[in-house]
Amino acid sequence: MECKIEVNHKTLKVQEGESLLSALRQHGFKIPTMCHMNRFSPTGACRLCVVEVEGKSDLITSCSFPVEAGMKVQTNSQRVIKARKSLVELLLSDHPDDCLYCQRNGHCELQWLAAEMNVKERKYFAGKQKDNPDYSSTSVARDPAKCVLCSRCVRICEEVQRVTAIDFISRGTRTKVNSAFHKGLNVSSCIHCGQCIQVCPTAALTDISHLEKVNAALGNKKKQVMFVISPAAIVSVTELIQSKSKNKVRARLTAALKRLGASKVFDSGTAADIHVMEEARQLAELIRSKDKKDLPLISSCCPSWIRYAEGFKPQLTQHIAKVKSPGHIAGSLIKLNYAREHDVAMEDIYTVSVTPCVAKKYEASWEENTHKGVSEVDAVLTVRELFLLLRSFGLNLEQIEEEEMDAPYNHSSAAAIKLGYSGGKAESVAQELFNIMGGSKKEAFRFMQPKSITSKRETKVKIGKTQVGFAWVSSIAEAEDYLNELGESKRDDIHYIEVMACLGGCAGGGGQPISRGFEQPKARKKISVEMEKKAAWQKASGNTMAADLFERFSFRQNEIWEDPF
Amino acid sequence: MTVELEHIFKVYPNSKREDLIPMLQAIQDEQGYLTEDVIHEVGKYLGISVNKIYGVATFYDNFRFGPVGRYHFRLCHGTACHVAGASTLQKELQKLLKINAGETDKNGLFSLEVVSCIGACGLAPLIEVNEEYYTNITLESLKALVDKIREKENDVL
Amino acid sequence: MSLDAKLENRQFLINKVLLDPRRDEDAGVRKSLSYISGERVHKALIYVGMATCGKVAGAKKTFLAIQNYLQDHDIDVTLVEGGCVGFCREEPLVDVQLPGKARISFGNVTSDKVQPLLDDILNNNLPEQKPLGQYQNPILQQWDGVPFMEEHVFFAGQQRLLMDNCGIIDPVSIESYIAKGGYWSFTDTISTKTPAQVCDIIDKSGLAGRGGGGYSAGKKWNAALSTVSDNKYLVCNAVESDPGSYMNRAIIESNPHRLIEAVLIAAYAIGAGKAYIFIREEFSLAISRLEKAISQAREMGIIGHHIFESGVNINVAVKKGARAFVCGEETALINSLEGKRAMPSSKPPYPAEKGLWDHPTIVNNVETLFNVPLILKNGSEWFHDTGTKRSKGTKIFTLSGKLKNYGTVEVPMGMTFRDILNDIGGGMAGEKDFKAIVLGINSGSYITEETLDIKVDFDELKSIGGALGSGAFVVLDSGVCMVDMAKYFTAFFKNESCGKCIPCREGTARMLEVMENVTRRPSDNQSFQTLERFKGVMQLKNLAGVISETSLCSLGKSSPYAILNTLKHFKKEFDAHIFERKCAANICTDLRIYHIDVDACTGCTACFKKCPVDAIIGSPRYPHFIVQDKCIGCGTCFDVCKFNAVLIK
Repeated sequence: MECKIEVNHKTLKVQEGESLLSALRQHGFKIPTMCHMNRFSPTGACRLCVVEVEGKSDLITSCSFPVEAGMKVQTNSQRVIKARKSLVELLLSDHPDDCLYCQRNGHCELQWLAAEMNVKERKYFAGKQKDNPDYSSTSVARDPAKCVLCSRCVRICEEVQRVTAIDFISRGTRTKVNSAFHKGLNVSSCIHCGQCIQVCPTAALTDISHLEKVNAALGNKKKQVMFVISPAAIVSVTELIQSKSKNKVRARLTAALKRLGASKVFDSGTAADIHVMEEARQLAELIRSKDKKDLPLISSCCPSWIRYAEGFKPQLTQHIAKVKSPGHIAGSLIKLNYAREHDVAMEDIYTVSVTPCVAKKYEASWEENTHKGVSEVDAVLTVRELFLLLRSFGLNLEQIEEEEMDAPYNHSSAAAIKLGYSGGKAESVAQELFNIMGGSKKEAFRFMQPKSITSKRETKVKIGKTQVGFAWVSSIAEAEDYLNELGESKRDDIHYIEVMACLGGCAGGGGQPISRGFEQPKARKKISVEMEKKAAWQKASGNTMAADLFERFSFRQNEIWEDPF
Repeated sequence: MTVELEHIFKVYPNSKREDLIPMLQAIQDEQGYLTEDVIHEVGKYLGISVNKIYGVATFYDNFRFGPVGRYHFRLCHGTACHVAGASTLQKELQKLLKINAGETDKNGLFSLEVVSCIGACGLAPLIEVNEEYYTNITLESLKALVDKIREKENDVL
Repeated sequence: MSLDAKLENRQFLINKVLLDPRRDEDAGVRKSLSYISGERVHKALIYVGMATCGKVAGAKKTFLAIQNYLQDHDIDVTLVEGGCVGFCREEPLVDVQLPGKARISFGNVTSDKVQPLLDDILNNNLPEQKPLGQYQNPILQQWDGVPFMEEHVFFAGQQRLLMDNCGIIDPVSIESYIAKGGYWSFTDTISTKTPAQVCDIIDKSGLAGRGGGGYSAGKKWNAALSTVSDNKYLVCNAVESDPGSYMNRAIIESNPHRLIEAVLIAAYAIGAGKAYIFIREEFSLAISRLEKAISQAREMGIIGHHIFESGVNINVAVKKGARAFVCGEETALINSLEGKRAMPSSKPPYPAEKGLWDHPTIVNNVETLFNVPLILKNGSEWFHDTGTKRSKGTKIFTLSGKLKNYGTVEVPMGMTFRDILNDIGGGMAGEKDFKAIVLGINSGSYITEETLDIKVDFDELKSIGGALGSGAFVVLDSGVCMVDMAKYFTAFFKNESCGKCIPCREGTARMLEVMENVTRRPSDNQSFQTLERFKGVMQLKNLAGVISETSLCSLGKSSPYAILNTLKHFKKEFDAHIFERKCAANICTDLRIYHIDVDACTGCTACFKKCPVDAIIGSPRYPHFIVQDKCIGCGTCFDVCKFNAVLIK
């Protein structure tokens, strides 16, 4: 129901019962916030969104106050501005002064707030806090000294990822965000999804950077540095480039990396296609077998999900497809197959994976992904790190020549590109299943999308004689709820479940450029769909190189890893 | 499990979140303090992350993660006691016991806790040692008390 | 009493008293009640005040001594572990009631005084130890020459509506409580009034929250009653972490059944089926007495299902709260009950709409609740007879600090602070002058010489920029440094802040840093630091407004007032600390620099011997020297030196 309120002496029409903050923002009023996250209930922790409301003696936090008909609000009175500025000064009072050396210099929310409030002097000098940074994890670096206790990371880890690897410890000024007994993140229940990094306003949470390693490798004459770019990373880069160069991103990125000193720039699409074919093959096997106990088959390309399953739902690990993720198929293809075919020693190759995923850094450290001490993937760069790398070498993707990616791994089908968003993987696998189990050989294949956000992400497809059920969930909360429900209802009509730990799939990955709000995955999906239309083949098996490799070698992961080549 | 907690868990058969604090209180009452193992077992039983439980336990003043001394000193530092000189007494007591507030000494003999308001404000300043109250204390009487305990303990050894 | 006699007693109390509204009209019933309540006794009764304050004063030892005496002399006497009448200065208190004679009270009865006291009194003789007083009662024979307790200066000015049974009845005897009118309100209410009517009565009475909030209890209840929900909760806030307040604990220990009755009526009024009494876990005596009282009430059918066939179902449970001052804030308390960190939540939504587990919840203070059975029994108009126009009823204060009569007192709203201090409180103790009265820590108020004549009234305190607070009443004399008090309160807030919101978490820390700077040991670079200190204090004034306007809960909102009020009333002391680096009251030890004048010192070693921290070095007949690093500034050397050789810089 609509009602009228007065803001800064102007009358506005708003919806009764909605929060004052959202009403103000919809009408274009600028209200700073810190602890606020869209789609999460307000906590009223930071107090930055305070406004003056007639009849209330104190200032009111607009995030937690519902609109009331006839209320009179002032969003920028002297009192309000003074309060907001003081709050920012208080935040700065025990924040380190090392902006120039900080990873988030230039795009830090606290910096932005200080600039907005016109903070020009350090008013308070607090005692130095003894907070050692925690670099124990393979993926997420913590620097508690920069933490502003906004609670966003805690909430996303608890409410969206259902892990609670970190929480508030102690009380008052001694409050810290940490895991129990102040142990490092590497021994906590962290699943390395990196969603906390996405929501952190400062550099309290960042990637464990592989830039130094990569720089060292690039400078090492003995090493042949080979970049493997995932299609999802191409999508992310495309999103940030100006319109003219959008369809040239692959070529320009290749050129840029070659200028850096990369000896090869590959597309991980081939590996992704192989991965999809293997999962489809395993699915077909399970559907055809008499024993249905290992159904449904659950996707295996998300290392965060695998970590979650191992830690929290061990009974589900038998359902996970036995195949490496595309990144590691690519790594093993390069280090074992390519190396042998081109007579290069495995130790002389340095593979760098570029991906919007932070958990890949964790995956690269798994024992099954190393051979005699040599990792399949030597370094993983997130899209963020990629930009830092290019910038530090003075490379501008807007103004650079174009170069083709290197053979033999330089193509991907539309199926490989689809892996970058939630639902895409399931679709690709379904398409392949058509191939294997008969039925019409559809080239372009899209699932029926569910009608609303709340309806389940499931669909049934008739493949051959079987009605095969596919489901896709993103974020652990959705995954957990869905899997629990499936288990309780004892349904047997779902045969394949795609699980992505990040909301929206890799489009919302922990390694994506940081943006507030949750709108980016949609935008990235749109770009992805455009790219799929231009792909050389629609389904995974259409990729001739991938099909050939798939034919020659076995990519099934058994208990003991065997060199498939 | 390394710690026996079944008898405490039995009291809370439906394992709900609101049982967390009473459970931790019961465990500490029995065992004197909480340990990492205890937190893990409680986490498993209630289905709550260990990090969350640790966050709850460290919020409140009364949960401990280490044992108290054989002689646990509780010095009151409420308003009336402050007016009666509790600050100076605290500094002195810390020197006498050779520990800071919130610590236990290496031999497990003494531990010190500063509390705000035992609720006998007329008899300020006061201190409680193992449930014995000493009222209207002075620097001298404090020193005498600590000396007496040290003497007694040395005799026993 | 035999089991049969007990059951008969119980049936009598239920049928003839609780369920019969005309109980008072029967002379036979009245006589029985007179004996059951302890007003009259068949055999001698000895009552030892054993609330926590009594125990701290040594009442346990007194009790044991009495027990031993009775055993040794083979005397059959009813011995009661009692509650607290409030006169803590006189603890341990022992009351004796012989059959037919008025109850007589003796103060300061330490265990060594037991034998001579009992030797005389049990033989109907007044002992050598002067009694504190006797309780007036026309149906009992008075003791000759013993003054009445009611006329004692400590009690004369009080109006004991809530504390009427405290220190008089056996706290854990439900029979005595019922005999004295207890639970009558509850059973009458559930059989004759609807919940809406009860809320209305409380609203009309003007009962305002006694925890410091001062909100209308009735309005809160009405809000909860009108919110539709299957589950509603009544929570009693017995956290009481305000340093200097212990009246809630004292009245629970002395009369737990009154709290239970109040909680039951309140739960009925809002439509709640479950009531929780959230009490600090350190209050072990209060908890054990409360739990015993609850099981007694349950056994009697007063708590539980279909109470006395009324269709009303209410269950009462005690919840032990883990220790944090912020638990006293109602939304933080609710979060703590739910098993979370006690961080306050934003309001709206208010607990009356969405509280415990998102259900309508009312959180009431203990003292507020204690008023409820009386208001229901006597009516809202009766409540208006006491108090002022805006503040009805009484207020309980815990008097402490530098005054003669300390303890727990109940005064009518409208009494002046001067009268409380000088009449009831007996005036200042010691020779130093009155400086200020500190009320509850969340009140942000000082009562100074200028405001001593204001009345105990919510509005009058608001007019001086403060609040009534929880009821703490700490008297300060000129020996107290107000800058140090401001620092103490700021440190308290900083330590107890939950850390959720920026203004309180960071603000209290910054304010404390300013205060520590003001009281820090001076070093060489004087003028630069003076400017720093002054700047700090000025910044503080700016910051204080922001902290109090933007903080999430009342802890943060009231945190700056300790400093602001000290600045307002005691600016001279502040200036002396900042500019002259002097503490007039000699409390700020870092500002006390003692040194020995080598010319005046005779080497008598008096100071050397007396120094409690061995900070003085020197040999006999040679001038002594104070080691500044070890010196704690206690001033003992200054006191003992006969040659004026110890100087304060």
